[in-house]
Amino acid sequence: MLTLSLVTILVLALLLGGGVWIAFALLGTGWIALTFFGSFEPGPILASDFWGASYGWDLTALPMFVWMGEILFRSGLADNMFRALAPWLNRLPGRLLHSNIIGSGLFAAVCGSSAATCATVGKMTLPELERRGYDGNLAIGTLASASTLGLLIPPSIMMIVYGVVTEQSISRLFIAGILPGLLLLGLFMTYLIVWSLLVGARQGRAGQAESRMPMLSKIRNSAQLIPLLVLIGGILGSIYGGLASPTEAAAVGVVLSMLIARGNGHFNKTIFLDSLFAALRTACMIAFIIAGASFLSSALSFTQLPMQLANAITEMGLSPTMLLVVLTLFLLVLGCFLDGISLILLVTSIIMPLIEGAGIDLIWFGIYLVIVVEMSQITPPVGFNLFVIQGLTGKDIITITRATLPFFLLMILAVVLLHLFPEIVLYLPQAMN
Amino acid sequence: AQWNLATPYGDASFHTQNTKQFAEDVADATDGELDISVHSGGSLIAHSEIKPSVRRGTVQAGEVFLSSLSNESPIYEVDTLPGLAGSYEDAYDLWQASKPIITQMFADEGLMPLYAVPWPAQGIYTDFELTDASQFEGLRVRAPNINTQRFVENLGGMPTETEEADIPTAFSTGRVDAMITSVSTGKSMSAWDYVSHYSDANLWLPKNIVFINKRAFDQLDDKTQQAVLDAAAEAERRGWQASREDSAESAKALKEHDITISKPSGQLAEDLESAGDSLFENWQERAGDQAKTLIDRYRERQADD
Amino acid sequence: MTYRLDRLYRLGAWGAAACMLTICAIVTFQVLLRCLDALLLLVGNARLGLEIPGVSEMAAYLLVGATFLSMAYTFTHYAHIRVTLVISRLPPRARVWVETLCLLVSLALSVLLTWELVGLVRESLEYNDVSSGLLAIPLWIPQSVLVVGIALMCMALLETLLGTLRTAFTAPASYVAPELQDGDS
Ligand code: NA
Ligand code: NA
Repeated sequence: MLTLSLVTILVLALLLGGGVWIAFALLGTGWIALTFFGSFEPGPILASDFWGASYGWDLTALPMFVWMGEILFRSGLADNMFRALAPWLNRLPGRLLHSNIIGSGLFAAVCGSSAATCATVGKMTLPELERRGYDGNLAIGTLASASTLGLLIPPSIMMIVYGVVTEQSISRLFIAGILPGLLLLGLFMTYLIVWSLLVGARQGRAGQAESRMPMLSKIRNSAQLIPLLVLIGGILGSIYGGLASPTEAAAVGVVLSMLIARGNGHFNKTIFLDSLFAALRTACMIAFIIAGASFLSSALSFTQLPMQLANAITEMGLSPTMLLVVLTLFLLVLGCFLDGISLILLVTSIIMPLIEGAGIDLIWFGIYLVIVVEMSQITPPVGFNLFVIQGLTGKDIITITRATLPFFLLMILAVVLLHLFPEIVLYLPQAMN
Repeated sequence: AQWNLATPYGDASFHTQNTKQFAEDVADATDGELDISVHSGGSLIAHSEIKPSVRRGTVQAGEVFLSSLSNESPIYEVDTLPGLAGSYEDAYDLWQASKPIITQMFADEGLMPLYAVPWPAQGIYTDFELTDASQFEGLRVRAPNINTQRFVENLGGMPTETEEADIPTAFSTGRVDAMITSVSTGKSMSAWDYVSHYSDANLWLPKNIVFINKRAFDQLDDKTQQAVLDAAAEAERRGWQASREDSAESAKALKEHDITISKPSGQLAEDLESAGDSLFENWQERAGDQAKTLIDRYRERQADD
Repeated sequence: MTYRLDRLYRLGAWGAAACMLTICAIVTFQVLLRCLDALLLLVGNARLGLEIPGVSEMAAYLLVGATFLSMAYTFTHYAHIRVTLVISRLPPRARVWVETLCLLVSLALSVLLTWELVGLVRESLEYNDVSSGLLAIPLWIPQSVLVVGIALMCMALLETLLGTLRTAFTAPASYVAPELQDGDS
């Protein structure tokens, strides 16, 4: 068990550090783990797993949302949004950096995946924030972490997976995610304010003050937000009006954003093709890594490593609180290597009896698990939001991780808060009865 | 030997509990010679990839929803034909009658069925009381497979496709008005969050089938092979019993959550039956001689009971 | 760098674009039909209940084309990401050999993947595997698309490898990472 863990970590570090493309590094590590530590032929497993991870209805939402982001990026909508928001946020420390957090929170209500949230929001905000002289690291950090809320604020792919395998009500899970989602948004914004007051303002990295504007012009200026609100309202309306499923809503988003860009005068054949091909590149990059990560997860499952680790926890005989502490550490380590869905499936298929035995509420645990999975999206080497941001900015994954670290710690704080005050999770679903 | 068994259903399902017990029984009977680890909830392999993976030998054993193979042969549709076998006794006769054919079809792919366990009978969930077949007019009914789709069409409803995970949202936003599934699935999906009535129509009892790779089986020594077969026979017996118990418990849970359960009667029952009958005729034509043999064998068994 | 087979890679990307457009179109059409129904219901008529059968199934398999046909195109535009923190600090002479090694490893894995996926396609043909939804799509079709995508990637990797090796043997000191050579991305 120890040798296998060490070899896996070493090989992966070597391949990644040596500059092998991330998806290939994952494939190679999986292959080596299977060849030397599994009793099965790696070839057929590679083929069927790679194939299995390359198609799927839920997955189609990802390239669609990425495409939508590319259209919005070229539509002039981002600039409108910032010009409308700037006068309002002028007095709030952190100013437009909050747009990353608020934007992610809003978009999370539309989209069930964190990578898509990250790609769509980031495509709009990052270039504008840079242009306006905001601290690059903080821009990345807020984006990477707040966009993980795509998983916590309904709709959410992760909650659906959890709900289906543990037979918990998906509607209740969705509702239960709302308050913790707001809690995280609040924590992120508070941090941003404190940072801006203590550090950013002194070093001039918290953006420039905009010229003062009378109330009336502020309001008139806000009209520029209308197209964006129409977009979000249109997508949400299509979901909750019974016209589109959350997956279908992604295509609705693409069409709506084209219409809006057209209305804005920023849409023609060139923009259409540019946005489409840019979306293809990002979607391909992410899909390839998803397939690679899925193979690595499955290779490790075949070597029984994660199960043995999980069983080791089962045998420790811990108190509920200690159990959660150990489990969180375990998941954070595994979360460095496995993708979110594998993580949830692993926990639900091995550790669930332990959780039920400890008397932990399963809806609460679902939300806890989703937050831990969110954290795994921003821990290297396998962290999808990090990949998306590297694709967006070209910055190195280590730099991105460092920028994200404070927010990662805030998420741990959120888990502690949820443990101390479980009502944050359970109030709304109980009110449903 | 070390085997992996992949199942798409989660640990909370009685099917998975039964399959885990089967793995334990095998381990006990062989003193740990054959160690089968059960990977539940699609954690190792997704549902649609389980059968090809067992065939390939990537995993040695798997469990699938039998009628998910319907596109391969109409024979696999036999346990989703409304009205053909609506009780546990009939469903058991139907399984015994179809077993030789299904075993042969699996063998052609190098597979070997071990046992099959049914889900409780399928009924109709609605958010109003279903009293008359005319209520199906214009109703959006979730139809997960082609037979259910035809059945809904025969009743005048509109079959719609909805992914299982999308069901709660689909109901609460009005993309779906009704669904056909078992009490067991209704309970596990907290159907009370979005529907109010269950019509216990006993339409059909679909099954899960557990099967293994024949090559992997042949590599075992005689004693171990026998242990696997014995444990499988026991798992089938236990599974059918568990299904009955789960049916009763799930119905109780539905009632506790204020779902009104009723039996279709009078004209409604007749209309459901005739919608099923035309489906059955259509199936017999498509399935050909094999279907005839199967149905003859089924009717014989029923006559003997 | 310039790729001899660039047109082929672009062709792949156009295939992916076609898949992506098709997904968007059929899903949008489906939603529009529902809008039509909602409108009809609003003005008091009965629903039409029109539905395109198997939209989710079709989209699920079109996704393979939409994402994997552009593998080589994505590669030649440097959009597949990697960690360059360490290697970007190496002197050109060392970097060129590390790049060669990276390309070799990736090419080997690509070829392996192509080979295993071809096996998958052959098996699907042998057993007539079809999707389990309403459309019963023969699985060899989307699987072949996946093979084509990965095979294109093999070619792009091979081209890059040969180019890098040429530099390594002729003028290693002049090596500049391709993504830094031209701004086209
Ligand atoms: Na979401
Ligand atoms: Na991670």
